[in-house]
Amino acid sequence: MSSFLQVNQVSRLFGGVAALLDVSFAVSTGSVTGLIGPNGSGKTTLMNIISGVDVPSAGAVLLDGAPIQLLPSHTLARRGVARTFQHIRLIPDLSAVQNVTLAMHAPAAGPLDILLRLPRLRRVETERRSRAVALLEQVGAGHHADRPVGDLSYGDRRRVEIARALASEPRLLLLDEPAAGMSHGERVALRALIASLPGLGITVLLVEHDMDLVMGVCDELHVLNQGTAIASGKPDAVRANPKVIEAYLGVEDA
Amino acid sequence: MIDLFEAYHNVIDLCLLNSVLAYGCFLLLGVNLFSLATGGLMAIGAYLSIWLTMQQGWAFAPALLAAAVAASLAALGLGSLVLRLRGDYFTMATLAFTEVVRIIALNWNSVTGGALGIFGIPKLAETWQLALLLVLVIYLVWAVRSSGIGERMRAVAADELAVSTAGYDVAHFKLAIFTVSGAIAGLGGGLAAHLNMFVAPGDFGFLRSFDTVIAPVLGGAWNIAGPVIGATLLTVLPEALRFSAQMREILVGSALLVAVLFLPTGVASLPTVLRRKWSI
Repeated sequence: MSSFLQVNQVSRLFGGVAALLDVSFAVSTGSVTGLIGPNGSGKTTLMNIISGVDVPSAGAVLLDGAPIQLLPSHTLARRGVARTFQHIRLIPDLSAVQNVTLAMHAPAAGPLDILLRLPRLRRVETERRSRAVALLEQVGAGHHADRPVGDLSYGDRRRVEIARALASEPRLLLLDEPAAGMSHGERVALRALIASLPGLGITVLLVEHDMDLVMGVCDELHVLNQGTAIASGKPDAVRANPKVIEAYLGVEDA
Repeated sequence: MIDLFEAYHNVIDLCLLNSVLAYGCFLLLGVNLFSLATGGLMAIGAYLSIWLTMQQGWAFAPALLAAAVAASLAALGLGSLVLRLRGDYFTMATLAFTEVVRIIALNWNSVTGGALGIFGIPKLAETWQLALLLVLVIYLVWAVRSSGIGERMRAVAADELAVSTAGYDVAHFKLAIFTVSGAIAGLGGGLAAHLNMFVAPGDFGFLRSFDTVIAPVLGGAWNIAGPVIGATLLTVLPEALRFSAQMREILVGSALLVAVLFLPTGVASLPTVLRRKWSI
């Protein structure tokens, strides 16, 4: 497997505080890669940098070998990087379908179609809608298609947000704590959904605290602690790594 | 009916004109932009169209078109500078623009007649033209807002980051809307100039900008009929209260305050509010 995404010695300083320091790792094409670490270890900061929401203070991010660390998020979305947020960012008074179509790039109605309400507008809208409904069904929220997302449960909103990320037809999907607020049953379904994505040509980078989910679905793990990468490898190896145990549980006094 | 029109056609013209202008701000409010640039953009449209009809012998229609194009270009330039500013700072910058245009108009005697203004402008704007334009503008704004662009506008107003990570350039999008609203302001300026036979720099100042942006807020910033209702109220109310010269401003102000306090989503929401009240 070749490395699709490469994070090269990335640092991010906020004033004098280093949220990330010299972090390097690679994500292989078609893998589900987990990014774990205690709260405040820099996971979300790294997600922000990879998705173009934030810019690193030093270092580079390569997508397919090309540097992307200075590109804005809307350009990256067009290049195939989509994401969800730890704090869900849906538009509450739009319906689930409307939220999903928000991220579709094609087909698009032109200005003339819209201003003159040409037949093409209807066709485009019908096609976008049916694709959105299909995506909502794929994530298990098809029955909520026309409800305002503000009325949905937390778990359903998470699913709608994943559907929106999928709507931009990503090659790389960044999921920031997708299981937060989900019930056990929802987590099981989420795990199956994530596991199905590589088969659709989507590489996944997953930030998650639910260790059952992470260990069950990830091919590879990278562990951050206080802004530095402390371990990488297969889930089982990472779980047994003393440094990781120390970071999560603290070190015993000698 | 005809008598009524004869007696009030001035007020009717103003209602139509102010409604057209209010739709420019309505579009901007739809993406959370509170702009006070309308006065300055109108001035550009007004003085250019006057210069073209009076000094260059242009017909009214091409002069209006030129006014719309010039003001939209000015909005494009202004927008690319000030749209990066947030909230209040954006509003202040657009106000500064209106002031700069007013001061230029005050001092550019050969084109604007300076502080004395320009007299004897041909009255070329007709009521039917204003009405037709208003219908056209309402249709266009409705078509845009009921399309996917309208959904994107609501999304930008609610959460810009959600839109940019979905692959759309928010800055670019806002600039496009600001440019379109500039065209509406320029068109309104050209019409206003050919409605009264007289124009002075003070006609396009802070108050003009403020009235235009308040109209959709008063009428309902989320209702397609909001700008017409708001602009009509703001135009008719001061006329209707003409009998009490000193009390007029106070009464207009009080009416606005009552409307904002009791109908926070605008006068357009009155039927819904009443229905809800009576059904209980």
